[in-house]
Amino acid sequence: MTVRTLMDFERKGWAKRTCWNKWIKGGTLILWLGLSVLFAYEGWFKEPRIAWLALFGMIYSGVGFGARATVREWKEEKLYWWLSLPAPREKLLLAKALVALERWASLFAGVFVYIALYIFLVDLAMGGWSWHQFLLQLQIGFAEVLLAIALGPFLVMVGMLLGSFKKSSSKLIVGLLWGLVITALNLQVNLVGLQFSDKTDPANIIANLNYVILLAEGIVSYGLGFLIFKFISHRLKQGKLLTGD
Amino acid sequence: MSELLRLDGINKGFRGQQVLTDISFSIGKGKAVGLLGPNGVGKSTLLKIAVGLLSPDKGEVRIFGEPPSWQAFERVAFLPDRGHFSRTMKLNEALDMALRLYPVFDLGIAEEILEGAKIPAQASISELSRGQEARLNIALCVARKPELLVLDEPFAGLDILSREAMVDAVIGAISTGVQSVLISTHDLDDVEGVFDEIILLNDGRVALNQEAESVRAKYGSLRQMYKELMRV
Repeated sequence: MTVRTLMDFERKGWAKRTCWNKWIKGGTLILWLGLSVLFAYEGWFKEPRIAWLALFGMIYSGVGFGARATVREWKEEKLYWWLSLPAPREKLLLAKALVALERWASLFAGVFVYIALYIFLVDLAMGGWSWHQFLLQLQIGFAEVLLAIALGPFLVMVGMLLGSFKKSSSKLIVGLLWGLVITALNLQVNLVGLQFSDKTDPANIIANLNYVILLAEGIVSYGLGFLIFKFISHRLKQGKLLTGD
Repeated sequence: MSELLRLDGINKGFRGQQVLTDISFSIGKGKAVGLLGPNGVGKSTLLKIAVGLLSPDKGEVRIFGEPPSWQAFERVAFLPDRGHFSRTMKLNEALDMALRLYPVFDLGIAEEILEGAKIPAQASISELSRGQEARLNIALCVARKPELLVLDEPFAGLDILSREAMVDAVIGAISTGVQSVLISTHDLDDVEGVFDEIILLNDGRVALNQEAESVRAKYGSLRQMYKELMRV
């Protein structure tokens, strides 16, 4: 059995959006875009690039996507069917993690495109649009993409671990682990922020990430993600995780 | 090898409460074994330990002579007492997926079991009635032609017709190549004549482990045996 087959099985499990749900969400986004352009035209907006902070928040939603992948086994009561598939536990887990990553990455990409379009239109409405200005704006978004690539797999694995435990005490421990990531990131942002006189502009700080620190952070987060993966698959083999024991 | 499954001295507890104590039994080739006992006695826990989905606190499990591993699921089909193969899939999607997931899956057997279940083609599994989903679940297990079929409370909460269809599917499985069947149940009405061996659990221990024929000879019926031994 290939990982691709298991991923197809996983994909089927993620809830399908209803037609109404799609229309409501799409309509809200278009409405928000229209209102923002109108407000910008009226001169109420000064810093549209602050919108990139929404994408920054999206990075951390990786934990939610990971947690959903494992919590769903309990919620939808397909745990024992899943565990009795004739495939190594690592393969089962890898397929689950890849589909969670895939879902998170596609939402992240969608939000990226939306914000880029938003900034383009708002800048245009403000009358101060230029290619140079737009590329500077995109720089913030691309810095966030790099941050997402560095931290994404780790955050998804933390979420999967969080969703694997039933006991609240275990959730507390994993929650603390997640807290460490945020602390590390804050530390990084502050380190980069020290280079600027204008420390109050988070978008400026994100746009000028220190790439050496980012690379180090990426290596550490991938290493930790791998360790969490091995831990979950080891516990699954022992029949001691996800099973209420 | 004539012995498919062996459990030796299995103990299991949850949060300080002992559920199973010193459980030992084995299942040979070509046997239909009934695991009987009241609700909450630990039948489901024992079956999950037997197929390797839970680890015992103490004791040893051997499936086909080996410790439990994922490879065993190529030869064992396990039907849990509750839960769905997938909530969002439709019938055809579930069968297509089973063809891809399992090394052996006989679509003809699955369709035969599902005949008469009147499952709407466009309904997702979560929308099926209990009887329809039970039939789909047993079809997904039996069509794999496993050497050992382990069913946890397959008849619970089903109407008479669905129960009969399930029993027919199990009997059919035995006759079409499934080597052995282990079924946990406390509903003895429809399965009185199905079992070759009986294992009765009470207070987390094996209260009786005998050939069904000798049980019937001694007590008249499995139902009578159950009543007498549980009353003690």
